[in-house]
Amino acid sequence: MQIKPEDIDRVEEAGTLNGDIVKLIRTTGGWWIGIGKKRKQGSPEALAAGSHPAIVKFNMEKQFPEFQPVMMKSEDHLESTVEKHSHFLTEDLRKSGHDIFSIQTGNEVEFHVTKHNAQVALVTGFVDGEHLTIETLKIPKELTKSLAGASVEKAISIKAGLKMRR
Amino acid sequence: MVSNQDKKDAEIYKKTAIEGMDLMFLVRIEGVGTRHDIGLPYHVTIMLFDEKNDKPEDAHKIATRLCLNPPNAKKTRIEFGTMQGRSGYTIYNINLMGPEADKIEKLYNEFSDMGFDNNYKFQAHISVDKKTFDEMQKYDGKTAFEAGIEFFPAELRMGKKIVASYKPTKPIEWGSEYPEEDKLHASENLDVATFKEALLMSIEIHKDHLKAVSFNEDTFKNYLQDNPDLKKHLLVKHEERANYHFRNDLSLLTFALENGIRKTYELLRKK
Repeated sequence: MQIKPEDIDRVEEAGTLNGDIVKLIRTTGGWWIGIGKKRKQGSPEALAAGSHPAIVKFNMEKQFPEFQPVMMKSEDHLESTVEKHSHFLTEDLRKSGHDIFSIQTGNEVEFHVTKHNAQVALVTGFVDGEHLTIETLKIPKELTKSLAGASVEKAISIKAGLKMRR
Repeated sequence: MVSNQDKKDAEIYKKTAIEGMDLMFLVRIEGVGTRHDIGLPYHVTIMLFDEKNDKPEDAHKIATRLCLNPPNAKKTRIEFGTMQGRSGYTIYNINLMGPEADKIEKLYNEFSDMGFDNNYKFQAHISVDKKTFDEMQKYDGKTAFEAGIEFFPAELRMGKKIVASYKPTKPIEWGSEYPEEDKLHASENLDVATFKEALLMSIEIHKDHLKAVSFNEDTFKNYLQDNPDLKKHLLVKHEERANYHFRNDLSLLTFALENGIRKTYELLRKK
């Protein structure tokens, strides 16, 4: 994959891998790519890519256990917590490259359904006191059950109840 | 006829085997998994390591990248012979011949930097007691299958302790061949209940995965697929538990590895 300078919207520091800096590049098309060296002597290359920077970081952490994500310095910038819920997908969806992630940033929770790392559905919600409230459910029918599982799992992991906004 | 010297030699062999580190295929002869005289499991040694210089983790590292499918009994011819042990005692062997035996020699050669320094020319064999050796002579030149010999998956053992198994032990249908692709597949055959049992038994290590116990079968399988390290840990845990419960009975151990400890006890109760 070749990325030309005019394709780059912005560059952020994602962390380090074996002591070398890993960068997160956002393309003008909204695509995020983690770039770094797999081996100390190697050349920088794409380590992971996706539609959300937190998912890219999450995938790099899974794929490269030595990857050390950088902590955000700004107090205004909240760290995101990513969880993978792909085990709730049907076999067909998994085989066709689908994944489900939840990304929690502060009180906001997003469920991203991706296919080969590109977002195909988004469900938003928020944590309000003791509940995780799901705001929207405009998703393809075949994803309903999987997203139900994902939202329950997310609610359990933050020790909250689950509500749907009417 | 079994002489006093044969008995003494068998005891020396036992002592050597108990102290050694050995990568082996387990064997049954006419349904029996252990030697009558000294109680050690029948086996085909792939590599006898020097336990003072060779580390089990190094042996395991090499073993994990090898195709350790057990030999096909129908393609293995047997002959009979004796050899001298390292301290001069006599060992009675059923020697394995043909392409399957050649495969075992190739596996042996993969460990060329390990083991003892000697001029030993590798010959795949099953060491047996003198009585069995005499009784089995009628099968000289026949296949292992015809002689009632079955081969089972490889294990790395330090004495009696199983350090690593290279495939959960799965009995094969009489005389049938292990499919090549089956090497890693058998572990998938463990049912979800057994994995969940192993998870519950090691929950102190896997607190974060406790939620998975409530997953339905498909979701749980997906979860293991997405968490391969967890799956490996659970398999190791399961094998440790199976060995703890049934280490003295190869057939029960085999069943437990494949079907779980609870089911094995259920089977025993029914019997």
